[in-house]
Amino acid sequence: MFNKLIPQNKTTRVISGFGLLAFLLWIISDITITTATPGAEFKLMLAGLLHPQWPPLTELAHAILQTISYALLGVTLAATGGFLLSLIFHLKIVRVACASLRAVHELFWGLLLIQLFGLQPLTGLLAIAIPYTGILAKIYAEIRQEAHHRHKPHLPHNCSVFSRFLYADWPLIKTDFTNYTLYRFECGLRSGTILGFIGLPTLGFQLESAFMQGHYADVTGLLFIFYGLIATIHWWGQFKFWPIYLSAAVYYLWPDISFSSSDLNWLLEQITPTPWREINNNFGNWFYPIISEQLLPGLWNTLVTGQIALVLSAGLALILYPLLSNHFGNSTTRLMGNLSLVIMRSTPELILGFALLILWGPSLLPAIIALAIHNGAIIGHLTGHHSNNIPLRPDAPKGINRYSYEITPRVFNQFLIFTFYRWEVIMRESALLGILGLHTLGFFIDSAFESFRLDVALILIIASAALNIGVDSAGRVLRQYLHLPKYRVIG
Amino acid sequence: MALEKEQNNFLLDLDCKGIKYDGKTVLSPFHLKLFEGQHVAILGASGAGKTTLLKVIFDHLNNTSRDIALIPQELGLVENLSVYHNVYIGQLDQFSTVSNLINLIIPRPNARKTIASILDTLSLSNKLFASCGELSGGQQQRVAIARAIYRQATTLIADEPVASLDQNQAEIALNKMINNHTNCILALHNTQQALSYCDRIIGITNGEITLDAATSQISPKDLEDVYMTLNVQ
Repeated sequence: MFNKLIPQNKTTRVISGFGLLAFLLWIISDITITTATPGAEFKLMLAGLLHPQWPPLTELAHAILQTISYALLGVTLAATGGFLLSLIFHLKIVRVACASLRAVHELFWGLLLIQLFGLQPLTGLLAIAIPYTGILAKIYAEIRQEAHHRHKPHLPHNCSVFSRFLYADWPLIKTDFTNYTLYRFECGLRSGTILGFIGLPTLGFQLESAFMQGHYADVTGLLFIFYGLIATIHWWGQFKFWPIYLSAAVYYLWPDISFSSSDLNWLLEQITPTPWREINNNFGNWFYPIISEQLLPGLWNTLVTGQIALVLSAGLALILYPLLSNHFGNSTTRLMGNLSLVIMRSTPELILGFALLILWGPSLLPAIIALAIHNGAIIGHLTGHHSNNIPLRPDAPKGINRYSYEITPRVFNQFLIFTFYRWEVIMRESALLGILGLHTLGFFIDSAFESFRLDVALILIIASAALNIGVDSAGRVLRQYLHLPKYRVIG
Repeated sequence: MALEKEQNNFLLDLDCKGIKYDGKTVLSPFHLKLFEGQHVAILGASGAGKTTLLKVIFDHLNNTSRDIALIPQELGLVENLSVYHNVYIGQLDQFSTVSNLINLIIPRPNARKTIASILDTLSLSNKLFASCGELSGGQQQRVAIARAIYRQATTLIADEPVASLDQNQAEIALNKMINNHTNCILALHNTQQALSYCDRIIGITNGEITLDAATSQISPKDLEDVYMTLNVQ
């Protein structure tokens, strides 16, 4: 009898499974507005939004330069490391290592590195460089594979690896390589910004303090600067300027950089589980409360947030993508659509989450909605652009009929691919948003660092990495189950 | 000639100044009159300009807000939708948007019955809810034909609609198309099909209309010329 309730079609089955799960999680979880007067705070934010203000120029310039320098140096290091690793990406150990590097969010790397180097530029740029190396190695390797698959260059058997690369690889992959690296630089600016939330002197630091003090006019001004940087990046961020920028960044950060780290032995000792350091301590007594009071609740809340946010992102993306698709509206509506989607997807989810947290109070709701807005806009953007490649019959219907019968069914597979790729990112960000005080893994990781229980922090970070790797492979399994093509996506 | 078959009511009176793509002439200037009730075949070798001519005719008729069913060469099916929904698309403009949306989830019983019977004659009855992407080329072509028939328009414009069908299926499909539309304009590959199903034949060679006559007045030699000229060039 229950067999009848299970849909025949695989895609319908997967989608209704995800939807039902998200619905059940929503019901049983702590998702409410807890502030008494969310409207009053909203009015203050709106007032700030209409009258942007900027901090003193020297302070502002300092924050901008710090943000750009971290992104620039971090991405350059990551591109170099990622490129070298991509050459040996066929080795399983390299793939596993890269997966682990990128499974830990850059802010968690930042928290870890602060213990070693303190609050200084090295911490910031390495926090970006380490996870980005894992990401870039994978993408560079995929770009090369795909190029070979498409072109199958014919070369003499005994030519050297290096000449092979220069003649057969580089010409084919140059554009994809540079485009993706530039895109990563844009992400690096976002990462550099949010590193301010853990104390580094970037734009995010200014943003956080402005938020804390309720100076919403300053928040708006800083956000405008941030959007401006992102929106004009194709103009000022071109590769030909990089040598100048890089030397400038090194010159600028050099006085603050210090290589005298705290003792590595001390750090290694700190991250070793306490019972292994102290003889009189029972491992079970130490480990059990960590699992029951931090790890499991943290994992559970991360999962709840991530799963609901994934479904909401997907739904939002389906509503948003027509805004920038050539098949709908006119040039004015598309311009407005593009603009709003740029703002929605450029705003780092941590900042969105912070704003919503102030409005709605602590529950998982701010995190879920922040993630849905940010990721829904990204998936919607990708899907909308994809829809522009679809040719329609001359007699194709218009409006909602076109949306529901012609375009959406045709972009649906691609939309699912984009969404499944985003799943892992959403999960990583769900863990991270705990830093704001919501009880996902990030909250427990942040608290462990604050109370100098580095061993606990490490265990929780490993748990969040394992969750991401698990979700990543679950996404791969589902893509295979649905026979979706393997497709490289920027995002 | 067929042109003088005094019916007086024109379906189309078209004066075309020629079509160029990238400076290259695809269709030379021509003057074409089509009458109501005619079944016209357009013949010509690949690349002769059949598709372009059909497009010009479609655009012209579409501007007169006539009801047209169209089968483009690339069919225009939606792969992720079922056969039923693809055929239903033929009448999307007949129903409100809300009922169209509901129909995506719960198929409307009437439509389902009609569509099933159309598919039945095209030997696709067991494919009603199969996904269009899973069908073979010939099956997809029949779905596009079913969509055109379900549209119940007076005029049909089709670009090689039976190219992937075997002779038996092609005959059934052509019969169905001819009987369901007052006016037919069909680009065809097979001269025999043109001679047996259409009452007027237009031949195109290198973008030029080189033959236009009633089927009854056409000799096999005329048709040969339509194809031969291309080979000479």
